[in-house]
Amino acid sequence: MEKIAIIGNGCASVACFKAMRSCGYDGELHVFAKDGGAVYNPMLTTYYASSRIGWEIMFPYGCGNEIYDRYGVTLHEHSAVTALSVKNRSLTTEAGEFDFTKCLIATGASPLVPPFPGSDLPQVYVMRTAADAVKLRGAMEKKPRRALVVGASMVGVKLVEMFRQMGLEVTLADMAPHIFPLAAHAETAHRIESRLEGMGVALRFDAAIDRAEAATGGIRAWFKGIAEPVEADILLMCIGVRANIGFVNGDEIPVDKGVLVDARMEAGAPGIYAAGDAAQGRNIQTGRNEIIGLLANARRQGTAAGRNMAGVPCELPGEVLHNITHFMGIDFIGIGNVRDYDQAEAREDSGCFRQIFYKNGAVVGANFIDLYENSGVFKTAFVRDLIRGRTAGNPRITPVQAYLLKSM
Amino acid sequence: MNKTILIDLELCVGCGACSVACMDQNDSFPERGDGSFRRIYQIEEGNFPESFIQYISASCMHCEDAPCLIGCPTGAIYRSGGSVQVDRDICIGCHSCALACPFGVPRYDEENKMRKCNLCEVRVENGLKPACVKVCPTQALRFGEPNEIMTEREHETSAGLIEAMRRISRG
Repeated sequence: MEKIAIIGNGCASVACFKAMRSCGYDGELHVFAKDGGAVYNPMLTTYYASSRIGWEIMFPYGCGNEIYDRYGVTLHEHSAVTALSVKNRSLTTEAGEFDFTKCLIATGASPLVPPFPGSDLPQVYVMRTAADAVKLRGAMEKKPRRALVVGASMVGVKLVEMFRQMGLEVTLADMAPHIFPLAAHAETAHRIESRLEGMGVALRFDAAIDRAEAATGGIRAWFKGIAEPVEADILLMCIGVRANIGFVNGDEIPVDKGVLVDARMEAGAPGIYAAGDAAQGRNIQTGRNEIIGLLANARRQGTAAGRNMAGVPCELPGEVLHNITHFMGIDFIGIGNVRDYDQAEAREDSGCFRQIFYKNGAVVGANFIDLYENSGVFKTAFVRDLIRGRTAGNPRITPVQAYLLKSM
Repeated sequence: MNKTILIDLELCVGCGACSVACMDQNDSFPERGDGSFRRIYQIEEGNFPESFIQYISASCMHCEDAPCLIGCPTGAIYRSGGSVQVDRDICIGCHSCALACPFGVPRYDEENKMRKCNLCEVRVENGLKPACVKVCPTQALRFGEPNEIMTEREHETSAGLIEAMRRISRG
């Protein structure tokens, strides 16, 4: 009888065991969760913290254990895995050793907080888990007046939105020169920044946090090379996340920033797979393995891993960098590479802005502001082009892209 | 197999009747920004006399492996039989579905909730055809099981050919 161990209790894990059962796997399935509780979606935590959704909405598979019962899964709560041995086909938790035949690593990621002086002050918060959301919601009940958000990321701007909607004075800071430093070109970014400033958000860029100290009723934060500190009642650290792979032995399983996987989600060791924010899958555009931390990507990777673990061959072509974030009445969309290009075009009309980036005549990336309508068509055409290899040395773009470039 | 809406591109003349019927059925009000769930695309290529024009009436394709559903963070987008539906009560208006949809379908109402074709669920439950299919004057839009519709089309084509041959022989 096969015995499957799924390390981590997130959306990729659920996608994996659902796929295995749908492929006819009828052996044992065990999920090892670091904490207790149901599968939450990290993307929804800011919505809960701002009271825009109820507690139960944060859990896309329900608040209870029904999903595990329905799929015949044994859930091991409060069972953080501390070691994984490929050779012995076993993993270690506080409760002891557990043998498996195949294993999925789907441990997700955790917020990255650099160890600056004051990073452990009680006024410093992060936003990733359901528990983080509860903690911040509790903090909001104390009616803070000023918030400092460090990290102009997708999570960062959702927090800025939340704080402004709740009437707080907000400062958004980042060590990068502009907002969305990975997904946005400077020109697009500056347009978004102008709109944020128009809505009363104070911005600080080229500002790396140096230290923080408790001040009367709050916190005072200094930035490297900047004399004037920012004072706030709460500080949110949103500079990024790091894959939870500390238990993985790099001598047995190839790792970089995450667990390196192939198109089948196999992790370079027999019977070991990885999916979600802990997995470093293929970026179709660069050809390199990169972590692309998106819910849909986690679900697809989990499903592909599950099928392969159940003996049904399944390969994923990979993914491209893409983001859409809707905040403070703004839609920002970033697709592909907006840095390495030899030609760019920009157009603004009817209050919408678009930038398309080309290299060797082929589209390599795009930024859109308030142009969500056909963004999915554009992204789909872009990905199909990459999969078919048309970008390599081929200066043409698809008819769909050409049509959209005219109509967007 | 579940029923769906199929379009015969050779028969679509871009009249827009389907779009108007859709708005009527779904109480869409253009003055408050609601568009029709069914949109008409007019694609022109070439120059006269070598020009080409194609009309496409398109709405949600109710994809089997729906990217919008996979990317929906709350589960507001769900499958119901052969259609993809939206539970607006738990839609948070994040617009993830807009970037996921290969057909540019999702739109958002005044409350920032996603709206799209629901395959006229209520009409179909009551034994009626979807509104767009009912009004299509050229029968470019048809509702049924894909295999059945294709078989029906083949029979119609065969019957048309036989009739044409009869006319020629009578000629």
